[in-house]
Amino acid sequence: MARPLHIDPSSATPIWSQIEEQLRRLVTAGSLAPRSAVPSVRDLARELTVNPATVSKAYQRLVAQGLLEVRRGDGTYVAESPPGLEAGERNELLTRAAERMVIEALQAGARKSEVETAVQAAWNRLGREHGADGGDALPEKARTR
Amino acid sequence: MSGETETRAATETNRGIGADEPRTAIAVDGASVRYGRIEAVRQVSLAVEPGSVYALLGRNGAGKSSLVRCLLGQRPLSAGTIRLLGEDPWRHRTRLMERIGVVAERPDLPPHATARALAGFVARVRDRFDRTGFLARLERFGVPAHRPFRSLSRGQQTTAALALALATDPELLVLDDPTLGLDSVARKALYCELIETLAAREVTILVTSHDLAGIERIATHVGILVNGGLAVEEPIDALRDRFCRVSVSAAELARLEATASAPLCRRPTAWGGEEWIVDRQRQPELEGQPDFEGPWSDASGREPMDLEAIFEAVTGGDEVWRPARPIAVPEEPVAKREALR
Amino acid sequence: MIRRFVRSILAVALWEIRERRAPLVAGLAVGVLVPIVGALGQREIPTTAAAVSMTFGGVVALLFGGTMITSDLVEGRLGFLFAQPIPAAAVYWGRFAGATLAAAACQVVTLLPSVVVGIDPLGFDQALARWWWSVLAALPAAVAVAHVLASIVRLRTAWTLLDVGAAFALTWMTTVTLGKAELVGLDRHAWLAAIGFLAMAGLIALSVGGPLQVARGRTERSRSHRFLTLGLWAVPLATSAALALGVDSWSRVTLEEIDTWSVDVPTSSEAEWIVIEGWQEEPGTSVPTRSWLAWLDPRRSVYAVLVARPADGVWHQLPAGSDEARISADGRWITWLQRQPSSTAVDLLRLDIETLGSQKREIEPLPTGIGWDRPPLGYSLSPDGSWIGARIRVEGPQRLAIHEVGSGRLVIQSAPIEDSGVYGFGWIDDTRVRLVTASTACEVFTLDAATGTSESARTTRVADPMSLRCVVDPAGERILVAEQDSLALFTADGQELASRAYEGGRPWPWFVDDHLFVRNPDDEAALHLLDSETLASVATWRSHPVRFSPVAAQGSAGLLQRRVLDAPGVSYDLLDLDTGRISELADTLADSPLASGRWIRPVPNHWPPRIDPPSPSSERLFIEPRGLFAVDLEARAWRWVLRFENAT
Repeated sequence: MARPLHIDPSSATPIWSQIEEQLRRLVTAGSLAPRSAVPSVRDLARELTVNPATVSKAYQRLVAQGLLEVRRGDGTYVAESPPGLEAGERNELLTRAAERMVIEALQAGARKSEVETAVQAAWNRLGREHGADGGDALPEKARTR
Repeated sequence: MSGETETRAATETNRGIGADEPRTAIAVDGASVRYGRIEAVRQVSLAVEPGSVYALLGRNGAGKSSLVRCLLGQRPLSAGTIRLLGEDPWRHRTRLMERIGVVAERPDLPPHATARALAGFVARVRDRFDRTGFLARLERFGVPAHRPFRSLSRGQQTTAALALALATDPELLVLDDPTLGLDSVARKALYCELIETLAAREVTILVTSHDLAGIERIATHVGILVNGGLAVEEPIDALRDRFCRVSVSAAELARLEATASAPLCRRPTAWGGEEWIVDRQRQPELEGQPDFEGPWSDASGREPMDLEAIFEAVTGGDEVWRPARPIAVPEEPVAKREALR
Repeated sequence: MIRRFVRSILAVALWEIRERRAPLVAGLAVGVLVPIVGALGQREIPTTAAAVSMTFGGVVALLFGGTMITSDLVEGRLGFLFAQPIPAAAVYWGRFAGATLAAAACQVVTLLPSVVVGIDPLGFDQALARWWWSVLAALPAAVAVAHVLASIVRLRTAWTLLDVGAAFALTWMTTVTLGKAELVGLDRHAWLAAIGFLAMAGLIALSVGGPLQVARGRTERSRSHRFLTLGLWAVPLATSAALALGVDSWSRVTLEEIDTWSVDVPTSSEAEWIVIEGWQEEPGTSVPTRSWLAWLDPRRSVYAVLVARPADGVWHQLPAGSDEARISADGRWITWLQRQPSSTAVDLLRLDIETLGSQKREIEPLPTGIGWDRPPLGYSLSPDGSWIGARIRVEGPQRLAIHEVGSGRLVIQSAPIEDSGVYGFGWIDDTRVRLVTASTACEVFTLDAATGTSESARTTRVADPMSLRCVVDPAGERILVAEQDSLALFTADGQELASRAYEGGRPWPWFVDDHLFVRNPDDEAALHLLDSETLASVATWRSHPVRFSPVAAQGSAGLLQRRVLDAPGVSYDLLDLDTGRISELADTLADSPLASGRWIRPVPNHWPPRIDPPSPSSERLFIEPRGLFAVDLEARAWRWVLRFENAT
């Protein structure tokens, strides 16, 4: 993943929030392994062309949530055992994604069964890449990682 | 949304700090600038807290340059006060300039001088000047130090001016439209340098710019001047939260017009409905209206706007939008004055 | 703060010099060319080198001055300096010092190659060397002036109008003031001092205008120009205004300042004029309270013509540059010669007494239509003010002429009259003017305005023209010719009436009304009284020991005025013409103006209308600028009849 973070300044979501959310997903999804180094504030700010204070704010919030940890004089790392998403948060996330999918599907004139088939196919293809089995318990799996 | 309440709270705190002068990098209170009968800046009050990046925006002729000239002590205010780092820039400009770095709107480096020679001059007049750092930075940017400034491109001159300003280890950087006339590569380099600076030390930046897409990534606060008055002054997150664009269907138009206060801007769409720009501070009654939660809006019922769109809506008037009502220049300072009386 | 200021000036100046390297090199190149070209062209190398050097220096100074601030200001680059911790004044003074030094270096460097090849450009011609050093010394001013001019021309704001206006106003004010100063009688030193003041004001303006412009205007064109204009013109305009006020106040003479005066009063008893021509011979000497300030007073002499109608009790001063006031015998008119600044031409102006009053302080001179390219040798106003007789010199000898007052028409002009001593000149009646001259005899010229005719007559020639003296009686009808050892009386037609021998040396005669006094300059003690018809000695008169002095008399009794040079003032002696008895009036009237040490004039045959006539017949009227006073010769008492107010 050359550029795992993508910032959209025009979004209503503040930039620090976007960074926070995307980093959390990377950690939750296991793309950033525990104890692996995350970029320094300065490097990430340069890469994203955003104010370092913004990056710093996102890092601080993630540190407070226990996803990241700061080692003095060394840098910032993913925590040993980062907490996963709470069930409620997960539910909200899924609901929003599902709504977007349903809107797309409605616009495309798809039927419900077609949507379910497409979800199942995507799950089988992408889930494997992410280390999930063909089962239906991805959120639980992801949480345990 | 949690971010919103937080930024609101931050705004309140900033205002609290603003009253405490030494903690404010720039404090402008009731500033007016008159040229004869023309009033270029009207009753502007703003506060820039230390460490923030304040983007002062406005269309050409909105009074940005006049305000910046006053901030730099190049002309006195007609009315009001300015404190930079706690001092009056008109009266204590000399002392203040030891702590301030400036990049002017137009390159104003001596055209016949080379960067190397200029460094010698600046080192003689300043107590703090990192000459080797200056030359190193120029080298990093690929700006030749042995050629006179007039033979350099505009981007190189601006970069040199920025390098010079940074080499004086400023507490405050005032950048007057530094991206003007710069290509996208030069702009990117400039922003990178600013990001480096911000990451490396505690510095406050006041920047005016027309490159809204670039500036909105690094600005923490935004002030928009309209006809000399400060129409908007917000932390950037709050600003994005405050303005949104909504589509109003033809069916709902009449009902909304009757119940809701008029939007900031509106224009008819090709679909028979209208597109409204809503200032949520002024139109809280629209919050949660089901009519705004159409399929084309995001979950909270509105389409977000980037800084450019907000800027256009606030400053554009007839040229971009058909305004439903004229944008009122804030009357706060006047009210304050009357209260004092 | 001072450290920063000095440091900034040095840095800015060095930077400025650095920016001016190219002309320096050009100067050197020009300097090298001079000996080469000179050698090829057989020219005077030293002269050429010096001339080229100072021309180059001057031109470069103007160039540098014109670009030192203005270019950056106009091109919007001055902000760079203002973004540095450099005091605003240091921006100006640094640039100024740099530009001046660079220009001076250019001037010197142009000379160097010639010096190196063994030519001494400054040792060759002293005058040129002085010029060279003068140009070098004037470089700072050239730089400053060039800066100001360039600012005005290049900033092109609305303030340019004010600049132009101020320049015109300054020029106009200065011209008027200096012209007035010339008329007031300021001497050359004072005039130079005025120029010096203005030059000083100019230098101050240059050294205030530029720094003020930069310090207060900073980077903005309009503000910059505004403060330049204010700083530049305020001082010279104020100086010029102060000079104008000064000259104006100098031209207003207070009576205290006048220690010498001559009084003219009309001969008619109905007349109302009194004219004094007053002056101060030595500033400070007569007014002790002012003496310590005398060195500040640029007037080397005070001169003023004052007129008054005694009934009003107010002195009116004629305009500056007025001279030779004459009063008509009927007291209606006064005429005077009005000089013009920087010109020898004079106009004859007149004033009507009817236009004057105690309430009205401003006088209204009227034109007479008469004027000359040069002041006339002398002029006289006819008794009713209708004519003037003038002795004029157009080319060659003088002529006598009559002009009509009002139209200025030349009524009649005499044939040329040989230049010789003038012993009498004036109107003998309403229409005839008479001039008495003497060379080898007394000659009488009479012009008649009514008939337009001219007459001349002469007395018999005398043996020794060197000792000849003519004395004309107050009526102008009799002429006394005095020569060594003899006196002879003639009519105006040249008829001899009487003659007598005079012993005791060359006689010195004069008429006092009908009395003819004669004294002998060699014998100070002798003063004789002769019968003015027969020249016989008056029996009751005895010779008196008096020193040389004029005599004034009134009626049948008079005053003999005696100047005592070694005493602090002047005293007046009463002389009884019948008995010849002299008594010291001043001693008994020590508190009177007579003892004031000033020149007091008796007012003969005149008691102004509307003023109570003297009660005892023994009272005599005198005038001095403070007023009219009467002295009772018998009672030995005095009183003020009228006090004049100060001159307006």
